[in-house]
Amino acid sequence: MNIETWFLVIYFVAMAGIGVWTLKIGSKGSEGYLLGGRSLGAAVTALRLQSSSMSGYMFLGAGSLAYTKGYFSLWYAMGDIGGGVLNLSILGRRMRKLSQILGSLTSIEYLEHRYPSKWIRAIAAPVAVFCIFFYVMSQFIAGGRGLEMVTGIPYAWALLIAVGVIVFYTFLGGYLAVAYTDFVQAIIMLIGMVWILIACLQAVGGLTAGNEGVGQINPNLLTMWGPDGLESVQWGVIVGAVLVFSIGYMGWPHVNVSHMAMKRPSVARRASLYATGFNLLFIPAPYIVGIMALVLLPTLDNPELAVFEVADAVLPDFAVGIVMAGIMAAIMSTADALLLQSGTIASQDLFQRFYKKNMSDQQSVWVSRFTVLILATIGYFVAVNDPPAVAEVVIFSTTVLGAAFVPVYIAAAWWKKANVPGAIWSMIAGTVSSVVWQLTGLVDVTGVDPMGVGIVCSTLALILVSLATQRSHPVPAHVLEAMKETDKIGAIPAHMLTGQNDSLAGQVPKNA
Amino acid sequence: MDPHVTAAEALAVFQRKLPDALAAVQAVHHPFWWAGFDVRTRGFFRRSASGPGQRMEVLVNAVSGRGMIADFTPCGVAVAPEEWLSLIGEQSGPLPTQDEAERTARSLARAKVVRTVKLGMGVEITPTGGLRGVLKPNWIVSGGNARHQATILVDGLDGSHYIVRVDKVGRS
Repeated sequence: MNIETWFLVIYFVAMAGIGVWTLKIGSKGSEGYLLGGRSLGAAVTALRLQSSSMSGYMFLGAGSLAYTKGYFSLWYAMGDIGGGVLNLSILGRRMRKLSQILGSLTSIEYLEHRYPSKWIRAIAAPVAVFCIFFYVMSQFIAGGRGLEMVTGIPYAWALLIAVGVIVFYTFLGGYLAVAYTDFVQAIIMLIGMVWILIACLQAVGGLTAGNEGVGQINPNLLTMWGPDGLESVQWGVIVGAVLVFSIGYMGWPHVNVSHMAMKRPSVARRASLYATGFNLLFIPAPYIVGIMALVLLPTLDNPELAVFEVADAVLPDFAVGIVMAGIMAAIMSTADALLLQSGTIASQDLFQRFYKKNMSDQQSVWVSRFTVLILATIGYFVAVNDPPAVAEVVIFSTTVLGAAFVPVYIAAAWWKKANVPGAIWSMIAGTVSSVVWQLTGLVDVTGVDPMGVGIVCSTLALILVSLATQRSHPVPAHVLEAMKETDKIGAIPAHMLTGQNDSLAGQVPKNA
Repeated sequence: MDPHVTAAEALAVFQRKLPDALAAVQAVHHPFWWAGFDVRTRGFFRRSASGPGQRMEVLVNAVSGRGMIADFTPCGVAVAPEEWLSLIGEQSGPLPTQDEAERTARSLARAKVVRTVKLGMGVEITPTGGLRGVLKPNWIVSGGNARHQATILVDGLDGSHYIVRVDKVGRS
């Protein structure tokens, strides 16, 4: 085994060890451990959010986009950098307060409480699981490709090992371990990525020399208009590229649930600063490395491996091992979080809600376990037989989630006239239009990105249907009251709001 | 239920928000359901839990249906059921049924434990008796200083607060 593989093995064993150790402590029934309240600070919250939402894509997809499209790929980076702040600013405080008043525990349950109908959950939960599955699959592929490159074992076996480790970790890891390893993983990712970037820039003789090298291959790669230049630019695709990751985040149930878990609005503000700082340092790096890979490795067979191959070429062996462990850590933390989220949606939002209301705790856990195993098995077979490109899968699932959920999440917090039929038709219109637009190849024909089409369709459906059905389906009084409470916060002096407990809003006596 | 926060402490909370304020404190109550559970966990490869398990108390708001885990066992003086029901009767909008409240309490307990131990561990949650109606104590504090008039609700159990209204005092 080479030194890189040794680092990976040590990393996997360490992660599994933490999981088993956590399980052992949990088995002893330590009350302080099991039920003790935790309060993660803004830095940990922000970095966990970032590390669990952009890992596999950043190390494979971003490098691939940059390798094939040059500086055009930075449109995606721009959206990604601003995504965290936009999400926390638009949804953060309001969603946190409204969900507290309505008593919601999950982000899909929040939608059902805001738009009270079982159909909301019946539509939202499968769409979420469907998209999460694709996202998890992209992490599997990323893990498999990374292992294949480092260890040299065939892709099918590398993928099997990656999926096995991810599922094993999902089953055995403990919450505390996950919370803090996510934070550590974010730092490892950042250090690894910046290390690759610095070594890469040294290898090409600096950014200017690297750009000159790229310009000799194709001068258009140095522009933001793509390899074919300004004449062939598709503005709809550019708008979509910025939209995908900037507002697409607001449609991710597993990201939005973090708003509901925030302790105070001030955490959101600070977290957005940390998230932006992390994004500014981390996100441009894989894109620049991908562009510089054109100079260092101009004949790459698989552009997805651009970042991995550059790391292999410019870093010493031991450093490649450390960086690879960091990359695998990032991939695992994302896949692990998403698999658990899909298991929770299947057991709580689908099975218990629609099939067996009085499901026992053990049955609920087994539904989650089976869901994780089924998704992992299907994901493995799809990924091993005809693996799609990681960037395509991630962009597709983000597009569908964004088109389906962004308008309903925003309107839930901001628009008092948004009602049940409007929300149902918005989710259907967003999902169907974006999927059809993507699968029928209308993107190439029209030059318009499916994200833009999906968002327009779902927003129009929400507005038109809500307005047309105001009389037949009015927004319930208790929801309006809760939204009024959510609005009120602006009029109160900021110093008085510090430390306010919004969940007490429902306990104010009528005559107070 | 007996309050854990006194009227003087509630007034202090108010005065921290509005320095030099004069205010009146009034005790109020909010109806809650209280459920107790015995939580036991076991390893992935074990058939049954070992050890005595641990007690978990959950309070579910009888109006909003929102649950919270309490780190104490509620205690206090028993009141007539009519008092609890009359507070419920004052509320508008749909109220959670007893079944729903029980499910909320149970899923909150499960969510808390499962979130901690994830999928690898077995969890056994056993109710230790049915739901009981309790009146949770709170304090309404109203008053003001030279700049603001305000009313806030102070949680009688943990001292956290919620601002009901704030008005600027007009200048003459």
